[in-house]
Amino acid sequence: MSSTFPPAAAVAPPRPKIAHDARAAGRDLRPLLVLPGLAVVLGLFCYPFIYGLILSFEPLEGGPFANYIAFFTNSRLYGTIGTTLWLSLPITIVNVGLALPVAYALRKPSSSQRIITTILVVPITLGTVLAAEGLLSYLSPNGWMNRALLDIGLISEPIRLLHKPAAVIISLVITGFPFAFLMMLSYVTGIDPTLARAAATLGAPPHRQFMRIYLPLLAPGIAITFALCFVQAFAVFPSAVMLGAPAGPTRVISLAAYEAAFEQYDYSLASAIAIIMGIVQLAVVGAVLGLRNFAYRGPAASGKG
Amino acid sequence: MQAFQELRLDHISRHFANHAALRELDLTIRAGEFISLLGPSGCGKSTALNCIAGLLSLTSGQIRLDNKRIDVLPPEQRGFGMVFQNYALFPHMSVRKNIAFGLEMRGVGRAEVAARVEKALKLVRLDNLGERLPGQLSGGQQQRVAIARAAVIEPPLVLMDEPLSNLDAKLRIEMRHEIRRLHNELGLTTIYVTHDQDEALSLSDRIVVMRDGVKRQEGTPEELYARPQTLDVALFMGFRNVLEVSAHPAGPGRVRAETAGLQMEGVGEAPVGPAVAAFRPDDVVLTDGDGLPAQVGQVEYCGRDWLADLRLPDGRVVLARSHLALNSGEAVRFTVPADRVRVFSGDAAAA
Ligand SMILES: Nc1ncnc2c1ncn2[C@@H]1O[C@H](COP(=O)(O)OP(=O)(O)O)[C@@H](O)[C@H]1O
Ligand SMILES: [Mg+2]
Repeated sequence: MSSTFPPAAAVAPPRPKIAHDARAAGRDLRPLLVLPGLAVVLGLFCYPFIYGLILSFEPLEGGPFANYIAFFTNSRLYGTIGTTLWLSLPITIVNVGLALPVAYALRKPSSSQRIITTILVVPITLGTVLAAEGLLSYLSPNGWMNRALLDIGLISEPIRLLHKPAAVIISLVITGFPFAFLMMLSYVTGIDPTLARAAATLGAPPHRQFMRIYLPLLAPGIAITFALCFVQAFAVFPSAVMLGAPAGPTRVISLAAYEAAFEQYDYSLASAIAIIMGIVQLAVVGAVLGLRNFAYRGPAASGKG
Repeated sequence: MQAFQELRLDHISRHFANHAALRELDLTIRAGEFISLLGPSGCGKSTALNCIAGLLSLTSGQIRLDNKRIDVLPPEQRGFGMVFQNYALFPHMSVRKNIAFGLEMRGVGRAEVAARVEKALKLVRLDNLGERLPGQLSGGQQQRVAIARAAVIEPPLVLMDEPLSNLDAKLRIEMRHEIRRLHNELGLTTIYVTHDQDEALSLSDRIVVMRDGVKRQEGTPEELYARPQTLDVALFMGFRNVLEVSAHPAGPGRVRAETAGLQMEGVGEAPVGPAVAAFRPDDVVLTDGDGLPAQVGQVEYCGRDWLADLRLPDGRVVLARSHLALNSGEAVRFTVPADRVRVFSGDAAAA
């Protein structure tokens, strides 16, 4: 890594002086400090990405676009886009839609805010595989949930949730909601509470304080949270395989890429699928962030106080 | 303007955990009055204002608007206009939308909203800035928007919480005029919170001095300026010189005060015994012949006059304002007119 440092900095005579001289001469060397970070981004992100992009245009057989043609002519492949969107968009809406009111209700610092925040950090640290593992035994026909419901007498037969989209949705809410909540909480608490108090003195009851003050100021934060939650849900893989029905209703796009790479050993097709996956994500994120431009985006405080 | 006769605060208290921020405040505000709550930071002024606005609930006591009990109502149903210390303008709404907000909440028709907003903008002299966002305004302009927003709903009562404290000194004096002008022109009733005695004196019809959550004295600016009833009010009203004396009543309302062999006379009801005499630096008169002897210490030039430390023979220091230049080390004599000296029983430490 050290070889990427500029030679001037490696020589290292008294630093302040060099910066001063360089600026006096019109050459500010400080931007060079981004070089190490840039090297990491180039090496670990851009290189694999470009490698995959090129690989996707070098199919095992056929012309350069053969993989893309194959993807969009095979319903088992192009269908995964719809399947994945059909899972990830509703889940994202649910996660953000739940996180917003909960975060709003907990906006004032309190012990319940601290406790709930702490509890919700746990599922994030567990990761999707552990969460899926846990749900597998919890939701199974003779798992805790069904046995408890049977014993209470609420149901007469076990509810079958596993290996259906429902189980995948539940697992993605469990791992995605805490993330959405923590993001929304930081946006909500960033809004000066005096604004709502001012609205109240002007005659706004609580629901209008929310609609007229909080919601518009939160819109950019909601868009960012939505975009990040969506990207996470769109890349769903472990829970779709373990909890869902990977042969059919939860055959997500990442699964198609996995099959191409590790079952058919067609890395080129797998790369093409990954690229398509990226483009779909970008399209959705771009649309959401585009909507954000209609919202006010300045500071959410007020005045010069 | 919603007509009302008076707002009555009936022994209102507010506690935070074990701490009493406001204790048994009893006050009647008549329609059209400009009342200031004056006191040092942390004395419970904002707490009192927030209780009146409905942003804080009372621990005990009642608030009545004429005969209607309002302390049980949420803020949006009390309908008092409030101007916050940090203005609390809605950052995502234009100046015009900010001012229109309260009218919209009241379901006023669109044409009337537009007309009243326009009128309010003119009144605070911001007619050409209606489309700006608050972030694009200076502090003084934001202040005007905040006042226009509170006043446009024609509330029975306007509450202002240190509205000038974020402005620089020159603008503060300008806006002070402006606030009183709006109060008069719109026929408002205003409760104004401040820690600045000059502001309170120049704006108010009546001043309530508070300390530690308790009302200490209530009266017209003239009364408070000339006749503070307790030492702490006197200190807050600018009686910066406090001398420990022994008091001897000398006729009705008069006290002869003696300190270290020096004699002075003052106003008060102090009985025979230890007392304190308080007076303003402005009321110290330098004389040629008689008076208390002193030596000039440090001298501060204040533009129109000088503020000097006068050291008494026993080492105590008296602050004096003088229209003549004084030289450090000079020997002088001074007196204080008896009607400008307040004598309080007890000692200075008790204040
Ligand atoms: N929300 C609160 N929680 C606890 N204590 C508070 C709260 N608000 C104010 N106080 C306390 O009440 C006292 C009065 O506060 P405040 O009314 O804001 O004073 P002022 O406006 O006169 O400076 C202070 O001692 C303050 O610390
Ligand atoms: Mg205050």
